[in-house]
Amino acid sequence: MEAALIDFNEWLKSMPMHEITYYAVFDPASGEIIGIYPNHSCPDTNSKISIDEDVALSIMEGRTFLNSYVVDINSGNLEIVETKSLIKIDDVLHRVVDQRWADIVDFDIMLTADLHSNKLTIELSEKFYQSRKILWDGSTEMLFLITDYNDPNGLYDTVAVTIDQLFRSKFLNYSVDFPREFSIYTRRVFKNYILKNENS
Amino acid sequence: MNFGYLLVVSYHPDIDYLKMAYALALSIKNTQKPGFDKIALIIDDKSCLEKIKSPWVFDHVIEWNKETFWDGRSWMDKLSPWDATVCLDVDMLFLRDHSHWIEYFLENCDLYVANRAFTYRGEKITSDHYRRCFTKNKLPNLYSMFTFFKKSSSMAQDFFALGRHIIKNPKEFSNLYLAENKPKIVGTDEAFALSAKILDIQDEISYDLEFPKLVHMKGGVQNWPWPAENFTNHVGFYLNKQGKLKIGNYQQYDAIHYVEKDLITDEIINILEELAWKLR
Repeated sequence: MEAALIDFNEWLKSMPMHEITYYAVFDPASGEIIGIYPNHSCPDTNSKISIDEDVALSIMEGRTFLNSYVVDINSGNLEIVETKSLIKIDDVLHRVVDQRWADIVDFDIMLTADLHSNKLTIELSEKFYQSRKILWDGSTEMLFLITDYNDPNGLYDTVAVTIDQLFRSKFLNYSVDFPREFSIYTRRVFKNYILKNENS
Repeated sequence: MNFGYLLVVSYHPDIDYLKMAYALALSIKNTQKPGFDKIALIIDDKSCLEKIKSPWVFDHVIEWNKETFWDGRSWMDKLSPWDATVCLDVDMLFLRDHSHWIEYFLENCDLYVANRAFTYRGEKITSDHYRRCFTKNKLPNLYSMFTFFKKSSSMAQDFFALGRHIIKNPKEFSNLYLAENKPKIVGTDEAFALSAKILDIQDEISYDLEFPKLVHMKGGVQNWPWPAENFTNHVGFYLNKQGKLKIGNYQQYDAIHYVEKDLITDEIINILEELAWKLR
């Protein structure tokens, strides 16, 4: 029995088309884009974000530059930025401002210092649990330097936390030997840090 | 002869000059000896003082709104209530007692304008990065941020009168005297330098002295091997609760001209206020 030959155009129409989605793989510390990939060849990493086809093709075809984009870690969006070559001192040694003096309403990381019990609590903002847009590289380490008041030259203690640890627990408590007057400095992995001094 | 400092501010939509003047006044009260800590404020709207906690740091407040921004400083001789005055830029902080400078000026000078500045590491600034107009046109290297004068001095009166005339007629004076490198704006520094040159009094009003020692924090003159505009992008500004200042890891002792207009936070004001309240 001879099999009926299907019309090629009909066959093509009936073929299920796999939709291609594009991902930007980024550096979780800086938000810089490392590469653009279609879903089927995307590396197995947590630090990726889905992006529009137009943007992906524009970068792949060389119409726009990869380094013209950065992932805004706070909003979870891909944003066009000016090429940034300057690393500010505040990016690598950011003083966490006491909430009395801060005009930040939407913190990313809240540090609560209790000098009586020598306890430092580190809290990740609720908003990061609600947004699933960004998958973190959880091994990214945040260092908190407990220093003289407004002087990172005098270091008393250091607390190291990974994003994974914070994400799993929401609150983390550490025993810290606070001086009477202190400040906390950190590398600016997140944008908005705030310090709450329970005893001030 | 009474002596005092003079600070001139006016409203600006984006820059809080009064806040800077308030921080400077607090730092003067915290560091200068009695008799050398009087401050007069020239302001275009006295009601703005309601927003500061300790307006008593200003011993005299004079409302005056004939000029705006730095132009007002060229009227310092007319506005000052003191017999002898040091007029300062408001984006400065005092960190230790400088009354011995003033004693010298009172004894020896009718008019003295600072003529050198230092980096935060204590190096004398030799770069003309922001002062090409001065070097190209052979102007005396005057810094109006620290200007001492006696009100009774006829030389000072002539100097300031000509300075005002230059500021009012920048094109004419630029064409005549600054042709080698015309500044975009003829500011107080340029006007004072040109005034001194025209009157030929630069050696009388700006001879070599070990003081005033002023740290000038414009990024481009810090002798860094990279281009810089804002110094705070490169080194930290750390004022502790005792009012001691470190820039990077360099302890500062001399008067600081910090330049960046948003540097004075409410926290810094609070530190300076608490120190002033303890002394009062």
